[in-house]
Amino acid sequence: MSNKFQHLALNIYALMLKNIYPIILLICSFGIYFTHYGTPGAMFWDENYHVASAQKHIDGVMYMEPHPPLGKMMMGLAEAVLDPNANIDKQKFNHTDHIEGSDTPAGMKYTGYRWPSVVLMAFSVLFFYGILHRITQHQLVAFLFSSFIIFDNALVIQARAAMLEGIQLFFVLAELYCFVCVVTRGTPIRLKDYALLGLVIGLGISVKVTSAIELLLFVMLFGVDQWKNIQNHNYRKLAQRLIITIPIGVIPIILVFMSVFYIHIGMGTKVIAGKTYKASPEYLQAIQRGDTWSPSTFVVGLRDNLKYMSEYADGVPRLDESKPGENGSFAMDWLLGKKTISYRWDKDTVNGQVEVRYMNIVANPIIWFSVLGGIVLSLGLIMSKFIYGHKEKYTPLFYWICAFTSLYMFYMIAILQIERVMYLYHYLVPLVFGMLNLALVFSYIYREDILSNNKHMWINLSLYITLVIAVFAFFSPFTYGFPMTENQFDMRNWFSFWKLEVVK
Amino acid sequence: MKTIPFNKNTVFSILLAIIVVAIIHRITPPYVEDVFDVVVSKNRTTITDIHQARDIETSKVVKVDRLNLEEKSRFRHPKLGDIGYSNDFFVDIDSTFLVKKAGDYVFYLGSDDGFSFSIDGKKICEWTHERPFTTDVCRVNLTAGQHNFKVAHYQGYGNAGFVMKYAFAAHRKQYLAGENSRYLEF
Repeated sequence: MSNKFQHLALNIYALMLKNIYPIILLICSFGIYFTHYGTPGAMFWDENYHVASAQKHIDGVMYMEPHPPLGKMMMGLAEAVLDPNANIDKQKFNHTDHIEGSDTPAGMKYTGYRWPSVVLMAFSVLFFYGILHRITQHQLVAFLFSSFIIFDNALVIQARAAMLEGIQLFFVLAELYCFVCVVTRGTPIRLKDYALLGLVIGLGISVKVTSAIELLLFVMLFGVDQWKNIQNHNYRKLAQRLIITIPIGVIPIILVFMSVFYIHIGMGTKVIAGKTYKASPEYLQAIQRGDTWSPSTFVVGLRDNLKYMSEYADGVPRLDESKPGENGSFAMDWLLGKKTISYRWDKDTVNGQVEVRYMNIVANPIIWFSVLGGIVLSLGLIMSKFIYGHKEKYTPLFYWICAFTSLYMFYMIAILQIERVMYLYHYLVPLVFGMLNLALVFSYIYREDILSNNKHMWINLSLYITLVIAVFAFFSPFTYGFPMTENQFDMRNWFSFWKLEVVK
Repeated sequence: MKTIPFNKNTVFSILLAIIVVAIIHRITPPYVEDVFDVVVSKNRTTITDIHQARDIETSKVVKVDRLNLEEKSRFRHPKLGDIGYSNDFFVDIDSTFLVKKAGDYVFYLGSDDGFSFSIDGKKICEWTHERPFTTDVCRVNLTAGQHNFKVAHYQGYGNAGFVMKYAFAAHRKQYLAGENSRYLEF
């Protein structure tokens, strides 16, 4: 018996030792994302919309929204399960799409609605680490660069809220991990790999449609799958494979998307306060009949929902930088963290000194500027091969750099085509691509030093990561709403183009 | 062709050092010599006169080297930046100075809005109400030795600023208050 116990303990110890890096990352990630995530005890930015929508899921109220409903469904589920507001009447949330302060009952807690974003984002570090580990085949490099996803101020503030980006990034990283696993597995790519990828991409798109950028992974997967046929110009075989793989990949996406909307439409069993959201008479009649789960209602409900999403997007104003208080910014400005958004602030006077708790989305400049540097370096590397004809030193790593640079570039190009106003947090998805890319560019440049365990390189890298963490800590008052005096604010107002605004 | 030796790790170290130095430089608070204690007090009500009854909400003491507190039409120190409030505040300076050479002195007091200036308890000059930035010329005869001066200044709304200079009347060369010369020492 004792031998068995000893054996089990040794196995657990060995397993922990083997996974020590992901375990440390997970502990750090939960420490940063999960600690006191119920603060501030008031809604900020888009929480006012998403909490209203999530509550409608709980109460079975029909609603339509510009984003697909999966994120809000998860928020509603967490609120219903954790039930931190058991004795609070939240009925007013069902009467509006944007909760005002006056509609918020006293004692309201947001730990339920925020839970999915916080927890999924905290777990995302495992995917991030897994991606880097599988590509670089080096635990320590993957471990050190995974700190990017934990210690970026913009990611942390956005994910510690009842907003969609934390959930979206979890699925985006899950898709990437799935893709990397399939490609690095070393066995032929099977049709079920396309289906699995489609399934995860479908989940991402069901949270936020910008996740559709990951559809590019299908193109890449097909490229890897059919590399020999591409090289041999075997168009017939390529076409044959394409005819099979397109439906195998796309059908799961459609199924997931449709299933999410089926549940959303089915759960919307009542219309409150005459809020019909341009629903068609057929759809409204079906709700009145209590027939929301029938296939016919799903068809009209889905049509009405998609129409609403499209019309809403058309109605969003364009960026107007001359407008006072404009929070939106031009996509190319995001690369350097312009412009920050003041989500909320609370002013207090302590011992005659004015202190303000800011909740601002602000970049960790070390990470953001490095990501930009990484993109510049990788573009140079790609050009050196395809334009100047230089041979790459490490072929697999080179093509991974191509993949992540392409994802980054295509996302930015796609965003630049959108006319409606966009915000700094729309950069978080390409930022994650850029973080992964930077780790790979570093591995490419310092490959020999990594393999030969060059001390100078490890000291440099450790100092760099320490700097990332120190700068995160320095800007953390903006992320966690720690009180700051005007002088402390000025000390953090590094760049005028960030457009941070002091509260006097 | 020989290539220039290029150590990637050294380049990385240099880059890191530059970043760290730049950050330290950026976050180190500006330092100026502690010559005057400038008391800035935010008033709860609108200020229209330097002598009106004060209703102070909050006060702060800012240590400055020179009384050159007008920049970009704001109550602002060249190194310390904005040191006032947005509007309706009083500024009080109470300090000693040493007269090295007895004689006639000229004090130049520029303010937006009002001010009151006295030496050894005797009012020398004042402008009691609002105005755009304007400089008053105030003459006084000083004996050699230690003296005390007091300045009260207020800012209502709009542009702001306060500058105090001095000159030995016979020579006319102007010095900022806080700047030692062969005539005065602060």
